[in-house]
Amino acid sequence: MGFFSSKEKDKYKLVFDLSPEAIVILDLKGNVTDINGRVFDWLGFKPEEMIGKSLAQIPFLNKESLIRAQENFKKRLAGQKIPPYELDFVTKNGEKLVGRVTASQITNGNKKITGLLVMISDITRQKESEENLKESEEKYRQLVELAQEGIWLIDEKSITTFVNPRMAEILGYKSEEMIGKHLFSFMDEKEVKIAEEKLERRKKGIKEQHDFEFLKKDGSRVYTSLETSPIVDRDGRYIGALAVVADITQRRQMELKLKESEEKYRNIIDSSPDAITITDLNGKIVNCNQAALELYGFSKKEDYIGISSFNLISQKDHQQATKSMAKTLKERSLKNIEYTLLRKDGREFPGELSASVIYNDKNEPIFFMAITRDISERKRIDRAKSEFTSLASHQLRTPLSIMSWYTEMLLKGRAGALKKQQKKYLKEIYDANDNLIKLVNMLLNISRIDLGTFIVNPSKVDLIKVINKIIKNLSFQVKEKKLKIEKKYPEKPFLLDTDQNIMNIVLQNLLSNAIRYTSDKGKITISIRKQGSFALIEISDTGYGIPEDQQSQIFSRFFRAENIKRKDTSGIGLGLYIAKSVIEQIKGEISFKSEENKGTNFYVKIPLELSKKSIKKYKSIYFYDSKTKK
Amino acid sequence: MIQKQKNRKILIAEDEESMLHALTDTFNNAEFDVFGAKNGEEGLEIAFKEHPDVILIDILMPKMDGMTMLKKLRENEWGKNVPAIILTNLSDVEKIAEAVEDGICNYLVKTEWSLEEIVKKVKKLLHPVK
Repeated sequence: MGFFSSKEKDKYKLVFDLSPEAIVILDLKGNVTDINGRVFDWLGFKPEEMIGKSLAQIPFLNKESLIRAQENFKKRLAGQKIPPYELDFVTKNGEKLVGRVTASQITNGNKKITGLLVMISDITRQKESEENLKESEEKYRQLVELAQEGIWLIDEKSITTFVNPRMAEILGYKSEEMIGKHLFSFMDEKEVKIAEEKLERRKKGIKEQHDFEFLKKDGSRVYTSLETSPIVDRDGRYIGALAVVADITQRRQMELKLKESEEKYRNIIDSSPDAITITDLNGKIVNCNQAALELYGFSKKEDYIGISSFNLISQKDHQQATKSMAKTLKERSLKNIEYTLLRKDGREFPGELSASVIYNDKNEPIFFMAITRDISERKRIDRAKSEFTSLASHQLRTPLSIMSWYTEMLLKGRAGALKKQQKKYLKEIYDANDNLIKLVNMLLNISRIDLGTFIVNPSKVDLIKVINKIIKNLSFQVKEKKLKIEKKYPEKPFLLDTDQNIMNIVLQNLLSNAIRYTSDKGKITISIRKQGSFALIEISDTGYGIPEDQQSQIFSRFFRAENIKRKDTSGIGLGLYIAKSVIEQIKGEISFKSEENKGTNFYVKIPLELSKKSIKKYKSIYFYDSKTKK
Repeated sequence: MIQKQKNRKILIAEDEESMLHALTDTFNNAEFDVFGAKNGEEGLEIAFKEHPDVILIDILMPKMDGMTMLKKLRENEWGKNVPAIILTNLSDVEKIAEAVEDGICNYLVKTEWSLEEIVKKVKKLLHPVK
């Protein structure tokens, strides 16, 4: 330290030694000429380990720092000004430290540069915290950038100061387009009012969560859920607000849809004219509609809910109800079960109930939904119909029998011999009466089909015998028209376990139609064969045929094809309707193929055996005919 | 079973006069002794008194209907085996069916049968062909 006076030297020596900064003095060659105590404290190198050595000879700088230090040493000596710079130091123990280096030229009395005074501040801690801060800033930056929620910052004037990319995306903007814009420019007037109130609350320091509807850049709406908090400065003054925003449009739309559909279904149920009752799996009522209350005579829903549905069913039907519940559970639904139901006041009424099972999302049954109808009126009409049928059968058949029998007696000469002409006229009366009897029988059959009281009674039926007998009865017409009847079946019994009456009705119908609607000298072919578990009867004629445009209607009630209406005025169009209806009673089928002026083929499929389900024994109150002559 | 020479007896319980007349005339002509009754009560009375070989019974009759008459007949020692045919136009009444099922009687619908056929049926009932 030869460039200071000794007094000064002492003073500077003191400063030098006590300096909190590490100081290294370098000569012009770059060798260390002195260091202060702080250098040892900081780096652990003793003066003798450093003094007289070049920077490269002291292992206190890492490689890059050494190069940099050497370069800067040269620049500084050359008079270049270098702002403080950082070097990575290594202590004698190998610890890494960061120092900020400031180098100044040292001149002697002649202002000649003799070396450099290098001051090193330890900035290791500072660097560390800077690094930490950077790291944490990066972390937050990523958090903000990548967040699934939008983040929105506004200042105290509600001007947007920051939005993350997600926030911009939610509103359909780019981030930079939003910054600088007022919060209110992202909503409609109605929402502005709400936002104003919300901002007032923010200014009062209130944090909250609420839903909010924003306008997107394209003018569409976006439903969001917001988490907002005020931002205040150190003095507690409001300087803006932060919102974390989630787009709930989809959720809201689903909720709306759900609500809508719930409402729709509730409306349907509420406005249904049929009584709807929801019960648990034990039959306890949990809900109902207005119609149910009215049907069962309850004025308040509270009185209805909670009671057992068995209270609404007559005691005698309880067993059936229990069975039906089990069946409904098994089959998911059950239709049109008739019960005697009870009103609140105990009055009985005939009801019809359909039920289905309601499942939860795990597909477990949780409720029954029952629809009940009061069928008193229907029952009354049924009764009236059946009474009418009964009346018709009795009141019409009695005079018809009398006419038939007395004509028969006259024809037999029981009231004296008749002239040929008289006999002929009487025969006309007899035949007309017979037609009337047939018509009455047809009407009776229709009534029975309508009422579901048509009897199906199984017995052994020989198809060949049935057909032969019908043909025999029709032989007069066959002869008169010179028709040829071809039987394509062997003359031996073809036995079916079926209903005799139905066979008679169907075959009588088809054969008499074939004869009636085939012109003179035509041909009728009958074949019978087995096909699986069915007997297949085919009756074809070379007759008038059915016009194509009318073929779909021929099984309709009272339908007669135009071409035969012109040729034959006596039919009423019930035969095929009845034939089809009765054959369906035994699960048989009837179909046809026809071409006008060429002929018609009718196909009848009859089960070889009656299924138990189709047997309806004497449930009804009417018989068609006892004429099962053996 | 066959009663030689002697006419067989038939009881016809039928309230409709013209029908009773036609049937009576016809069965007379077929060499039956015919007993007519206008209701079930009268029918039963004649049946127990005359022990006819066969009985035709209408269903709807005043005082006592045909089904009741048949039931009472079948409760009687003599009456339980007498051939009976329910003759009706009312194919009504489950009871007919039950009766037919149980073999208590035959039945036939009037409009479906000519007088000639009824006579045949009755004769067949009296002389069953095996």
